[in-house]
Amino acid sequence: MRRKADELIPLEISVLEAALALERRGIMAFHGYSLAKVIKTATDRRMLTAHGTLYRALHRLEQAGLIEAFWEDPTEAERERRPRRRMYRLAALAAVALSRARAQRRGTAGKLASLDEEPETT
Amino acid sequence: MSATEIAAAITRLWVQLYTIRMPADLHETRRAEIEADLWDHQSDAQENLTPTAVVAMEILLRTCLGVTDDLSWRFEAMRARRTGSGGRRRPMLELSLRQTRWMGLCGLIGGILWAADIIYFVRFDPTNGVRDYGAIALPLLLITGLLGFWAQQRADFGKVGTAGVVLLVTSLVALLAMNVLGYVSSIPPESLLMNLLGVAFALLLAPGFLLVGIRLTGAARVVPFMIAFVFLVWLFLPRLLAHSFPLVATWNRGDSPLGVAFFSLVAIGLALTGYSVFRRAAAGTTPHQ
Repeated sequence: MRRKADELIPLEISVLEAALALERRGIMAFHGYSLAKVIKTATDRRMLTAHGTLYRALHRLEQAGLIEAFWEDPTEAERERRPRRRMYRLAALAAVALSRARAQRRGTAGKLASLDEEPETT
Repeated sequence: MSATEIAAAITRLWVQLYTIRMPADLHETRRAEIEADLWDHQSDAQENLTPTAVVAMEILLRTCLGVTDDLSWRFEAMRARRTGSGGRRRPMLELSLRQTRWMGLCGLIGGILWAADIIYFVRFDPTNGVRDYGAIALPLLLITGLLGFWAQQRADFGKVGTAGVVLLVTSLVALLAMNVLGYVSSIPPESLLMNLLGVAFALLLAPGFLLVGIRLTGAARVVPFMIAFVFLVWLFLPRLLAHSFPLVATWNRGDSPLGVAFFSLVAIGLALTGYSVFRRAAAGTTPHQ
């Protein structure tokens, strides 16, 4: 089934939630690997999210205007003698989109639960 | 070289592969992003004293499990780029005015030759050698036309189209060689050489037409698809089923109603394609004047 353009898939919701969690810790800008680690911890997974899956989700969120991407200061990367990171931060729209996605998820879960509770007619 | 470094090298190689021929900014962004991720992963593993083999396995798994998303990302990003720039892939049939006239002329000559050939076949002895000029003319015309397409549009034709043209040209050269060598009495039709040429022709022609058809745009793609379909249905599958190789049999001599239909289709297809392109060029819609 083809997804709607403005619909968030579970991984994208997880990314936004991870980003919010980082923000709450005072980390306003984050990179792909840090997000993967937070998602792994939060979802009790054994593995980090696959490269392709993670960066595709980030790309989509960026295209949707829910996160903003930028390159970190090259001097910082040089000082730490590591490759330059592509950093992300949440856009203003992200919180709204996330709460809408959560509400949708709750709605679907509620409908499924009510289906379970309905007595069988046969 | 440690296991982690090997795993990282495989990941880098994969990134190079799936970002090949993408716009430089997209390619470079993805490459740099993965490079930083690999560094962070390895640095994190060192801090946590994770065994090298485990880290290598994690990196490899992260790469392998993301393959479909990598390819989807490439597809989405390229499509978005094309749409965003307002550009679409340039159709293959946008030729220069001179080339279009040449194509139209090819189609016309091919059509006349084949019409004459069919008439001659119907009225006279089909074993007469005169009609074989037509059998040689068609592949020559096709090769000329296809090489013209290829030379003009190579930049936009892509790997699929180029592979199709290579297959087509190879198969048609095999057909031509079969026809020419057929006149050499010391090379019997059932010889190994003729068998190889026949098999090469039979195996390469239909995929060639199909691949070219994939890369064409608009209604023009119907012609190669139709030829490939007729070829497969009429020649290839029944012969495979009947185990009747060699394929150097008289298929190209138009000695069956289906043979006549096939060559008529090819001639009509060529003529129509040439005509439609000629019309478009005459109307001034061709960009390369």
